[in-house]
Amino acid sequence: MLEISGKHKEISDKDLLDTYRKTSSLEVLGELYARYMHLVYGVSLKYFGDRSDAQDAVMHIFEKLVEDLPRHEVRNFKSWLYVLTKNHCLMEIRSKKSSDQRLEGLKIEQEFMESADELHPMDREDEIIEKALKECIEKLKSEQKQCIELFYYQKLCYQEIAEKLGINEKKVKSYLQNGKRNLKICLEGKNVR
Amino acid sequence: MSGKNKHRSANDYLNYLKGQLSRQERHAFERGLEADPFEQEAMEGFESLSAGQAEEDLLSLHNRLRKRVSRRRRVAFYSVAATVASLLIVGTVFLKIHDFDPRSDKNQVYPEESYENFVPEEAESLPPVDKQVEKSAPVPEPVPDPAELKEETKSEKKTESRAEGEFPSGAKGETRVHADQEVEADAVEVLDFAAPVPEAGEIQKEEIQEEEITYMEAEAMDRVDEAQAARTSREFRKSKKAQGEILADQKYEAPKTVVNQLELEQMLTGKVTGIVISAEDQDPIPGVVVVNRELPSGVYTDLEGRFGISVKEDSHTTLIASFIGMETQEYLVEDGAHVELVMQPDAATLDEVVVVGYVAEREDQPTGSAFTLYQAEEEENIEYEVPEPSIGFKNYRKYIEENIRHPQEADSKKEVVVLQFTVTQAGTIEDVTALRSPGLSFTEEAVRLLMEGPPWKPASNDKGARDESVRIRIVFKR
Repeated sequence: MLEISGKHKEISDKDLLDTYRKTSSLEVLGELYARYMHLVYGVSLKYFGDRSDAQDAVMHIFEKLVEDLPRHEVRNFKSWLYVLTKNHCLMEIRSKKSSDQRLEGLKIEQEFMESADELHPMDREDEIIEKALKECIEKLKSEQKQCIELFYYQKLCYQEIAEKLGINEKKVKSYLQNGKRNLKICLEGKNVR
Repeated sequence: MSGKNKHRSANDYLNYLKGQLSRQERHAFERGLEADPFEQEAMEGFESLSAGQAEEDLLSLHNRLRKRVSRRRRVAFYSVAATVASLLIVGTVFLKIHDFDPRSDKNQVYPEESYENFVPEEAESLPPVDKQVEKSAPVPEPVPDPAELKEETKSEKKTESRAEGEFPSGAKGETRVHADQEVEADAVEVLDFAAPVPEAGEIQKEEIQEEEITYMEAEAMDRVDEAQAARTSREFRKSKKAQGEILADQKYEAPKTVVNQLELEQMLTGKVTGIVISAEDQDPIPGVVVVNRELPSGVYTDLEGRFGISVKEDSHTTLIASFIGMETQEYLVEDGAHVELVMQPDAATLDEVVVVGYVAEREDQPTGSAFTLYQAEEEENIEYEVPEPSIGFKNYRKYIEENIRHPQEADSKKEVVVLQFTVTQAGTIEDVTALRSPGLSFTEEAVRLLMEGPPWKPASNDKGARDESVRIRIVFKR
C-alpha cells in the first residue's frame, strides 16, 4: 500500500478529512493524499506526457489541496480530487501556451463541482435496467457489441478480448468507451437511467 | 459487486502493469477502471510508462510527499534541540557567574565540542580544485589547549551576551533557524560530553561561595541529568527496536575488496528478510536501499518497507541501509533471520538544499559554528555583525534552491560542498576555497552559485566594516 503509514488503513476518507479539518495536520492530509496519489500522477502523466513534470504536478496539487481544502465543502474526496487534478493540469498547460492539438476541445470543468458520482448504467449492475440494456446492446455496431459482451458478460480482460478479436488493446478500450456512450444515449431514449 | 467499489491502490496498479494478475483479477481491475473516470484516465497516463518506471516514480513521489508532510514536525524537533542547547548554555552562564572553576565548564561549552565535531569534516577536505582558489585554507590543527585557555579568559559578560545572541529578534531570526540546524547535531553530542560534570563538580569544592555554588551546580546538573536520561532512554528504545544490531552510524563505505561476483553469488545461499522502519514514527519506509556490505549490489524495500536479500549461509552479514533524509546505517544480521531495521532521521538533510553560513576560523581561534563566532568577536571586545547575504539567509537559501544545478554525473543522493571565502570590507567575495567537495563539478557549481548570487554584507559594527572569513555549506540533494 502506498499509504503514508499503515495506521489509518481502515479509516474512511471522510474521517480523515474531518480529522484534517480539526487538526490541520499535514500528516493526516498526506495520508489521505497518498491513497490517491498514483491516480493524480497517472492523470498528470496523461496531460503532461513527461515524468518529471507530472511528478512536480503531483506535489503542486498537494499544495493546492492544503490551500483549497479548508475553503470547500467536500463530500466525495476522490471525485473532488479528480476535478482538482484535471483543472490543475489544464490550467498549467494553458499557461504554458501550448499549442498542443490534444487540448483542443478540453475544457476546464465547473469549479469543483462534485462530479463523476453517477455511474454508467453498465457499471451499475442494476437488475431493473437489464432488459432495456440487452435491447440497446443488440443495436450497437458489431465491434462495440462484441467488446461489451466479452467484457461485461463473459468477464474477459482487455488483453483476452484483444487476442480474441485480433485487434489491439487500445481499440478494445475505445470500442468499450464508444459502446457505453451509445448505450447511454439509447437508454436515455427509453427513459431508463 | 465485482470488487469495483474497492479502492485500487498503487500496489494494485503496479501489479496490473507488471502483468502479475490472473485473468479474472485483470478483468475485475478493468471493471473498476471502467466505472471510474479518474482511474481510467490515470491508467491512460500510466500506459506511456513501463511497470518499472511507474514503480520508480511512485516510490519517489511517496518519498517526496513523506518529506513534505514531515517537514513541520522536524522543525519542531529542532526547536526542542535548540531549547536543550539553550538550557545548557544558561547552565553554563550560572556556573560562570558564580566563579565556578573554569576547567569544569570546559566540558559544557560548545566551541570545543563543535570544533571537534567539525574537524572530521575538515579532515576530509579535498585539495582545493577550483581555479579561483588563490590560497588554500589553513586547516586547523586539533590543538584544544589554546582554545581552552581562551575560554577561561573570557568574562562572564561574554558568555551572557553569547547566550542572548541565541535569541536574536526580527531580521536576525532567520539566521537563527540555520544555526539551530547546525547546532542540532552538536547538541546531542554535548549531552554526552556534559555527563562527567557531576564528578568534576564534586572534586572542585570551591572555597568561598560554596553553598551557592552547590545550589547552582545542582540545578545545572539536574538539567544535564534530565537530558542525559532522555537520551539514554532514546538510545535504549533504539537498541531494543533494532533486532539487527546497529554497528555504527557511519557513512556507507564502498566494499573494499572486489570479489569474483559469480563466486560470491554461489556463496550467497542464505537469506535475510525484514522490514525497514523509521525510528521517528515506526512507519515502514519504502524505497530504502539495502545492500550487503560484501557485495556491491542490493535491493530496494517495497512499498511496505519489506525486503529480502541474499546473504552467506549460516553466518553473520553486515547490511547497509540508506535512504534520503535518514542516516545511513549498518546492521549485523544472521542468516535466516527476519529483522527490523530502524533508521534514524538524518538531521543534516532537512531540506532539499541546506545552506548554513558561519564564520570561519580566525587566526588561532578554531571556530566551527555560530556560537564561537560571538566569542571570537568578544575577545577583542568589539562586536561585529556576522557577514550575511544582503537578502538574508532565508532568501539566500531560496536563491540556492532555485538556482542549483545538479552536476550530470551525480548519482549519489546527497553531496555536500563546504566553501570558505572572505567577505571584504567593500562587500566583495574573495579567496574562495572548497574545504570539502565530492568533485570538481560540484565545487564549480557551488562557486558559481556563490559568485553569481546575491551580494554579501561585510562584517560590521558602528565603527565600520572589516574583512571576515565565512563558510557556507551547500547540500546537493536529489
